[in-house]
Amino acid sequence: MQIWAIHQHLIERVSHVRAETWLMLIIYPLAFKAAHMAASPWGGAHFFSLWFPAAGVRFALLWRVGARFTPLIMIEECLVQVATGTVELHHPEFLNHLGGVARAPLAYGAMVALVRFIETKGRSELAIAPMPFGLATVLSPTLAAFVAGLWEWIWPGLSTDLSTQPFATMIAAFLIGDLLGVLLLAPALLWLFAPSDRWGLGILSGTRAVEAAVVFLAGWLLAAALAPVQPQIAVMPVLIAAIWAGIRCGRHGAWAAIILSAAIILPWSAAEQSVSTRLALHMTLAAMAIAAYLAGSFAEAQLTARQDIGRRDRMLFQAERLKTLRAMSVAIIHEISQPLSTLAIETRHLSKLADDGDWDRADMAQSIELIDRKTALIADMVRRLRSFGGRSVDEPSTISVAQLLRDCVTILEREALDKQCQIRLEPVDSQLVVMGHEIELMQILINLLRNAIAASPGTSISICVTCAKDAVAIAVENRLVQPGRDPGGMGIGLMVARAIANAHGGDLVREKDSDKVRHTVQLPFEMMSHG
Amino acid sequence: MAEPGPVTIVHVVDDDHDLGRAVARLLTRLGHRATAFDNPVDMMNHQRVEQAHCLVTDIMMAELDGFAFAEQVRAQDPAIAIIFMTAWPSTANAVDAVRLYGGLDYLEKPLDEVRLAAAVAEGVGWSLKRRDALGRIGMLTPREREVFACLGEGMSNKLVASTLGLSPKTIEDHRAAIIMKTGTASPAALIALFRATQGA
Repeated sequence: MQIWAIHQHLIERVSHVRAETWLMLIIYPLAFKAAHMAASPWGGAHFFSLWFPAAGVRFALLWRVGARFTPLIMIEECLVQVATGTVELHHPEFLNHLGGVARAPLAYGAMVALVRFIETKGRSELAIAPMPFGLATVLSPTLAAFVAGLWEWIWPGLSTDLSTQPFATMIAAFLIGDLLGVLLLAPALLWLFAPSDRWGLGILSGTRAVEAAVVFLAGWLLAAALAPVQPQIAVMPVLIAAIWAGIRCGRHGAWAAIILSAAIILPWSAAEQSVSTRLALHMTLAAMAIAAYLAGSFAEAQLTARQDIGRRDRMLFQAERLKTLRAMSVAIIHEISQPLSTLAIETRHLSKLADDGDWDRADMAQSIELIDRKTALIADMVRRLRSFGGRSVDEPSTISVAQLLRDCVTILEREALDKQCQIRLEPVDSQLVVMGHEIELMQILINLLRNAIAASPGTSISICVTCAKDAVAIAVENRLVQPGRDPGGMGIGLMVARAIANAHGGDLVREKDSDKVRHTVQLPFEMMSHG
Repeated sequence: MAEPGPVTIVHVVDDDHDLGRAVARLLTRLGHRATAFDNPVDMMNHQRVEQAHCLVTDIMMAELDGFAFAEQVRAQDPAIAIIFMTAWPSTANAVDAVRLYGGLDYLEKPLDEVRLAAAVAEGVGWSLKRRDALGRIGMLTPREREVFACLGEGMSNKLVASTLGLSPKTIEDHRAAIIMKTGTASPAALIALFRATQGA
């Protein structure tokens, strides 16, 4: 029964694998062998190659299809190596050699699985795309080299003496070869596999590309000058230029710099006879590839994070706006329910008088006077509300500062009363106007007043307006009840208020004394047009 | 011709001057002597001159919160009925108004006239009864009040005697004095009077 269940489970899993994945897995042995053979010009006495593109093919496949295919990829590599005679079937050390082949894909698969796990579950900046890919390209060859070192330590194929050249050279060459193979080939292969995601984020601009190209060219000119004298460190200026390309132009810039550098360094090193010079050149190229690619990944991750923050800011702003609208609607209910109560009582009274025919002129006059006054009040309220609901609400318009402040005080009257606060509005020149979005400006003042109410319960909060040459300054001042006491909240209200003030060409300034705090909103002054 | 009932006094407090006036005029038309006040302080001052049977007050007022105001009024006059009105109705406030601040009703604005009239009538009736009950026990000595409280709980003379550490004879004497001073004719009437003084 159990075998049948496992069989069914496997069939189900296999049937979910896409055709594209199967195709990649089928052609993988050929691609792997071709890349393996391409590495031969950079081989040495104690190592296979200083550039191992097969590692890049392997990594690209694992990243694309997932770490769960690691066993299959490992079997394919073993079969290829046995079939092509790289691992001899009848050799006394056959199993050791076969293990030497199998350990690399296993290490790669484990690291890809780990990085994918961090990408899904992690909350640090390392989990922000494309940092996981950048990390995996560096850590997979590193883990494979570590496993290789450990393997050779336990089942030595070479001398176990770490001080002797062959062992150290082999491991160093393994690491460099794999790093270069992955960093030079994997991004290109993945770029081909995923055409919809080819151009990534919009970090790359024309100006930045020109700037990076100039720096990169300068780096190579310096390298060319150094090459005849110090060939082993000649490439260092290029390394710095490539990092710069990554920072300014993202992964695409980094990759272009790496590929161009590899196109120069690889033929150069292939022609070099000195192993130490070849090793130094490849190490510099590997360092360049790691640093530039990580710099590019980090620059893009930073852009992603910035975009994410921007999106959250917009959401917070919307939430704040909804809070203001809610407070406004509650204030409107209060404003309307008071005169409505009076109107209801007086109209019913008049109706009763009419029914009874008992007309007390003085009493009737009182009722009519009350009804008249309350109707005028409601009509005025409706006129003001209409301006909020109209199409013009989203367009900037001239706004009377005095009216704006009166509306804000009305909206917050109840909240202030709840906290035994009194909002004192100093006299404001009715001719004073500013240009802006009414609801947004109201949002600033409401946020400031709310903060003041929360920080200073049971006190008086003053609003004072002053007018300078080209700006109107609205100051909200409150006394600190308990200096140093945290009134709660995350400061989002203040952040939103500052963002709105800046968007209106103004600013928000905070001044704090020992016992009071003042927030001043500065807005560009607008002359009142008459007529 | 029917004999006119007692003069019932209602005070209306609302910081919306017009609304306070409209409510007072309505209550006047309903037969109460109603006066409107814009703030609690004016009403408290007037209360010393003319004691109201019923107070209709707004909750959210600039100078003093309606609940705090009710506490002060109740401390000054335990026989005044209080009705709250508000433009900000909330379940929590409604519960507090009745349970914590002894409100008879909690009315939402715009006001329901019928409900307001009914609440004021009920409040005035309750206040008259309580004022009468408190007046009747006003002449009792402290010891008689203790005995009255025990009898009001339905205790027998013997139980009252053992509770207060007195002899049954002394309790009988106190009981006779209580009945004479309060004008209660039966144990049931005495219990009813006790309940009226407790506001039940």
